[in-house]
Amino acid sequence: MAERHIRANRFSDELVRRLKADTNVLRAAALDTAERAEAEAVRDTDATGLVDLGQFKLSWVHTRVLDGAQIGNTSPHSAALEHGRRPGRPGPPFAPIREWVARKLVPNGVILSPTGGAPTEADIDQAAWAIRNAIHTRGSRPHLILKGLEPRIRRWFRQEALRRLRDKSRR
Amino acid sequence: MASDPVISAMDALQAHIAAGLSAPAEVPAAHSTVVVRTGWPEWNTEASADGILVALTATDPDLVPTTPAALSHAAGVTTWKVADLEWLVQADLWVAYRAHLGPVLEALVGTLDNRAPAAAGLELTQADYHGLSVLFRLVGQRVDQDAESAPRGMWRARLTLRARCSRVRIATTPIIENLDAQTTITGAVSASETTTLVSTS
Repeated sequence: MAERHIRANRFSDELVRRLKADTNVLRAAALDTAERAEAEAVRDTDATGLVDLGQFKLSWVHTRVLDGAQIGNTSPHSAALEHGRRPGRPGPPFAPIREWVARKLVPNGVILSPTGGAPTEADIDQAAWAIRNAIHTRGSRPHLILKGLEPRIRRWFRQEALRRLRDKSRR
Repeated sequence: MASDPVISAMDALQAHIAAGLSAPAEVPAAHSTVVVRTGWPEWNTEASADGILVALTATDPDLVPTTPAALSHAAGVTTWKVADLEWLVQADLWVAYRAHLGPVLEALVGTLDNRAPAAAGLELTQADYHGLSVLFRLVGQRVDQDAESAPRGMWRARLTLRARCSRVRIATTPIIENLDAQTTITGAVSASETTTLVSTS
């Protein structure tokens, strides 16, 4: 084992220098872990089938922060998908639901006019309101994509940090 | 016997909360019915907005294989721990009125610790999974704050628990009933060895 002699009057400076270096190593490990977690979150989103236009799937981001790194989803409906939506909560917004009905349900023939023909704008509005009200009344279940990743993120970070600190102490 | 440790652990948590959570005195009797369920209410059913509802949702577990270690041995059967399992649980607490949320949340948090003062957390027995223990720890708590919400509705608080348990494998271990070894040395250059191993059960 390599030995290093430090004078007593330099000990505190050396300790501070070493802690700063270790902190930088851990920050880099956190950033790598967040990048890996982002890729895994995209895969998990695909696996849960929560992809329509791909906004939620494409909104996973990881960023460097002062304490290390963080991962999150920037889409406006990410909180409702992750944590679920409690029954009776105001909303959800009507416009995106109507747009989804017009794009998905109308071309597939799910929404028809009362006579069985092509739906009018009012028919589409009515169907969208029914869906919106059902979500409002019954809420929606949580998908816990980020929460499901947390044990893996902790394990990856632990492994990566140990590997980097070992490499650093060998140098 | 359930073969899934996560399902067994969630069943144990559900039973523990259902047995331990009762409505505090601040909650009127009309709203004090407690229902604890695993999973979200089904899409085609409308959950009752009058009582106290706790819904438990588990994530997929993170499985980390470990070097097999014997946990117990009895009557020729050995229980080997082969992996660590860790997952998160979201416990959603719903109450009818905003004023009920604080007292009920406090009561719910109180049921999630049965190891104090020696340690923190909730240790339960997985009755359907070889009687092993599972440990839950409260790691997050949040009340949904919707400024524009109506006072009547289903108010929610979210608790996050971290769960840990072991995945095990049961193996039958042969018991050596009779071991007979005989060694004959006939010279410097030749030798023979006879070993009789009788093992059954």
